[in-house]
Amino acid sequence: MNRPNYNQNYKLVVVGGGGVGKSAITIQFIQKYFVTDYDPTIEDSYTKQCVVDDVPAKLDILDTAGQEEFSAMREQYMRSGEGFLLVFSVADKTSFNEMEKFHRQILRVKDRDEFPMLMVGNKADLSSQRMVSIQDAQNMAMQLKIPYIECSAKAGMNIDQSFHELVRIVRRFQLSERPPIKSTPQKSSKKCSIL
Amino acid sequence: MAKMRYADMPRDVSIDNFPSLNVSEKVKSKAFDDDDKLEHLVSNTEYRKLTTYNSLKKHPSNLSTPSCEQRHRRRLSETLTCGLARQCKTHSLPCNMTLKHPYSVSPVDEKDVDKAKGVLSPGILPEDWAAQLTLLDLSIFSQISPEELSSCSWNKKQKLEVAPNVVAFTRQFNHVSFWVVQEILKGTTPKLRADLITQFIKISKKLYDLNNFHSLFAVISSLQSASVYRLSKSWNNVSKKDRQSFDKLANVFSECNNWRNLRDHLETLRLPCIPYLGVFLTDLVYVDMAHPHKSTGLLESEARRLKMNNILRVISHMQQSRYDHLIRSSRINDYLNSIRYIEELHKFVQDDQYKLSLKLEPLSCQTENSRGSKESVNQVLLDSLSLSPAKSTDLMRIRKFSLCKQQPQKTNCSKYRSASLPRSFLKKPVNQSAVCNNNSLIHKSDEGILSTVNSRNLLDDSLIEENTLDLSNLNLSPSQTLKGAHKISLESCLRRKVVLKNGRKPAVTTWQRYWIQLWASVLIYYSPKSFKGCNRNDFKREPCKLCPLKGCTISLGDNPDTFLIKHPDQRNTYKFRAESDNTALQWYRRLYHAAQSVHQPDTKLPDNLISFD
Repeated sequence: MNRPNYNQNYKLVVVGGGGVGKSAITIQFIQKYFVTDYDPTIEDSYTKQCVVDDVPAKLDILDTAGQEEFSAMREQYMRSGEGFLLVFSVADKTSFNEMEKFHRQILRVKDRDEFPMLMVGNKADLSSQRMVSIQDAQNMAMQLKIPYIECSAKAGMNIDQSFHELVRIVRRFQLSERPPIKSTPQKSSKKCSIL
Repeated sequence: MAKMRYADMPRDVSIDNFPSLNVSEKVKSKAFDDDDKLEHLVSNTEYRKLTTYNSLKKHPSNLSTPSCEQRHRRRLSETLTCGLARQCKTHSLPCNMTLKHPYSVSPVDEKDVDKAKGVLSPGILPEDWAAQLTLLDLSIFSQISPEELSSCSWNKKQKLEVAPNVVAFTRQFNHVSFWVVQEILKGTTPKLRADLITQFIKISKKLYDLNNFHSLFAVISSLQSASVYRLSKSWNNVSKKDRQSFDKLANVFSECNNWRNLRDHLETLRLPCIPYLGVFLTDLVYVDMAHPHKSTGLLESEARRLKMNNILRVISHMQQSRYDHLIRSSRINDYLNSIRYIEELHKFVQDDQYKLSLKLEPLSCQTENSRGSKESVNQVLLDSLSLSPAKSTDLMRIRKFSLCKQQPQKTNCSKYRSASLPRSFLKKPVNQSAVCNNNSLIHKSDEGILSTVNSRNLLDDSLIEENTLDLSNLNLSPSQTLKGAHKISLESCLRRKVVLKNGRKPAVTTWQRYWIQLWASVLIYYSPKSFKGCNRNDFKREPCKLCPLKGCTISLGDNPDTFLIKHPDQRNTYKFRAESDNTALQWYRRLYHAAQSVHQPDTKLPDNLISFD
C-alpha cells in the first residue's frame, strides 16, 4: 500500500459555547466509555490514535471546555489548530447562533478564506427539546460552506464519524494546499539536447 | 458603544508619570516637605534618578539596606543643590506635563496627557503596571470559593449567582486583554505600535517574575490575537531580543500536550502566585464529565470528590498568595479599573478592533519591490489566452501563506496578498450578483468563481461594512459586476516597471514579470514561479495582487510595445511591456475601456441590493 505523503498528526480543536457538550464529545471519542481513573491533567489525556480511510492518524484534540468565558484567549489557541469542530447544541438556539461568530473568528485568525471545519449539532437525542431544526442547521452550514453532522455524545452517536470526517476534510485541505510536486515525466521531457 | 465608553472614560493615570506623584499616600509627612522641594527642582538629568528613587520607595523590598535609600537621597539632593538650585520649573518633562502638588491635582488638566500616552506614560515603569495588575488580580482571585469551582457552572446561565468571583476573575482577564489590544492599536505608526508591543512584552516579563500567570496570559494572548498578531510591520520594528522574550513567554502558554509547559511550571513555583485559572476550569469540567454528579455507584462519586478536591486544593493553596511588597497605586488602579466594556458586547468590541487593525495595516503587498526578475526582455511567445475553468476558479483562491506561520516577525508575511485591496474585495461584486440571485448570468461558465467567492462573503460580513476600499470605491456598477466581473477580458504575460512610486522616482527599477488578467476593471497579478517562461503555467496559480483601475490614466509608452498606467490617488505610475506591439495595443485599448467605464457615474442600484453603507 502506498501511503500518502501528508502529515499523520492532526491538531483538532473543538470550539463552541458553554454547555453544548464539547467535553462530552471529546471524552466519548477519547475514552469510549467512562472510566473511573480518568485523569484530565495528564499529558496524553486528549490524544488518540485512530485509522481513517485505512490510514493511521494521531489526533491531538484541544478542547477548552470550561474556558469559554476567557474569550480573549480563544484566538491564540485557534491559531495552532489544523481542523475545527464547531459544536452547538440542537437544544440551545444561542449556541447555534454563535456558529457564525466562531467560523469567522477562525478564518480571521488563520487569515484565510476557507479552513477545515465541521459543524456538529450535539444532543440530537433530545428530540423533544430540539430548538434548532436540521433544516436550519443545514442552511447555516451551507452558508458557511462547511459540512454538517448531528451527533449525540450521550447516545454515542456519530462521535467517531465526526472526528473522522474532520480528519478527511483536513487531509483534503492539506493536499490541496501542498499539491504533490508534479510527476517527473513532464520534467524529463525537457531533456537537454546537445547541438 | 463599548468603544465609545472606553474612549470617553477619564483616564488620568499619567499623572503618575510625574515621579513626585508616585509619592503615594504612604509617604510620611516628615519626608514630604523634602520631596516637595525636590520635585520642583527636578530636571532632565535627574528625572530618571528620581523615578528610580520613587520606585525604590514604592517597593521597599527592593531596597537592599536602609542605607541604600539614604545614599540615594543624599546623592540626589547634592546634585540638585549644586546644579539646579534656581531652577524651579521643569524643562525636561514632556511639555504636557505639569508639576503639581500631589494632593492638589485636578484630573481634568491631565486628561489629555493621559489619552495620548496610556501604557507608555513616562514615569510608569513596566513593573508598576505589572504590580498593579497583580494586586487587582489577587483581590479577585483570593475571593473565589471552592463551591464556585466545584459547581462547574461558571459558564452556565446562572453563573453570576453561583460563581460570581470566577466570572469576575474571567472578566478581569478579558478586560486586561482588551486594554492591551486597544492600547497597541492606538499607535498610529508601525514604530509607535512596536514601542507599545515592546512595552507590553516588558510588562509580561515583570508579570512572569511576579508569578502572575493570569494577567501574563491575558497580555500574551492579546499579543497573539488576530488584531495584533497580523501587524507584521509593527512586529518588524520590535527588537529581536524582545521578540525572543515574547516567544519564550508565549511558549509557557502553549496548549501542546495538554498545557504541559504551564502545568510543569506551576508545579515548580513557590508562592506568591496567581495561576491562569482556565486550565483548572477545564480539568474540573472533565472531572465533572467523567464522574457525573448523580452517579448511582458510591464509588464513582467518591472518585469525583477526590479528583475535584485535588484540583481545589491546589487552587486554594495558591489563594494564600500575598503580594505585600507591592504598594497599591490608586491612580493606576483606577485607570485599569476604568477599562471596561459590556461583556455581552465582546464580539463587537473584537470586531471593531480587528477593523481598526485592518485600517492600520491593510492587507498589502509589501515586498513587491524586492522581487526583481533578472531575465532579459526578449523571451518566449505569449501563450494563448486559454484558461481552463479550473484555473479560473483558482483565481479566486487568494490564499494567504505566511501568516499562518508561527512567527509574527516574518518579513514577507503578506507577500501574496492583494496590493491594494482588502481580502474581501472579490466578494463584493459577486456578492451583489448573489443578492439578486435570480440573475441568469450566474449560471454562466465561471460559476465556480461565483460560488466560491460567494461563500467567502458570508464568512466575514464585518469586513464588508467597514473596508476602506469597498464597492463604492471600486465603482463597479451592478451591471458591470454582473456582466463583466467574472469574465477575464484579457490576459497575458507582461513586464512591469515602476516609473513613479508615491510620487517619487525610485532609484532602481527593474522589469518584473507577471501574468496579468483584466477582470472587469481590475487587474489581477500573478507572480512568476521561476525566472523564465511566459506561459500561464510559469506563473503561480494564486494571484499576488489586485489593482483596481478606478481613476487610472492609461497611455501608450514611448516604445510601441509599452503602455503606462497612472494611479492618480496613489501617485504611482507603472510601465508595462508586452511581448509584441500588437498585444500592447490590445491591452491599451482594453484597459482604456475598462478605466473609462469605471469613470462613468454609477447606475442606480437595484432595490433589492443591500447597501453596505
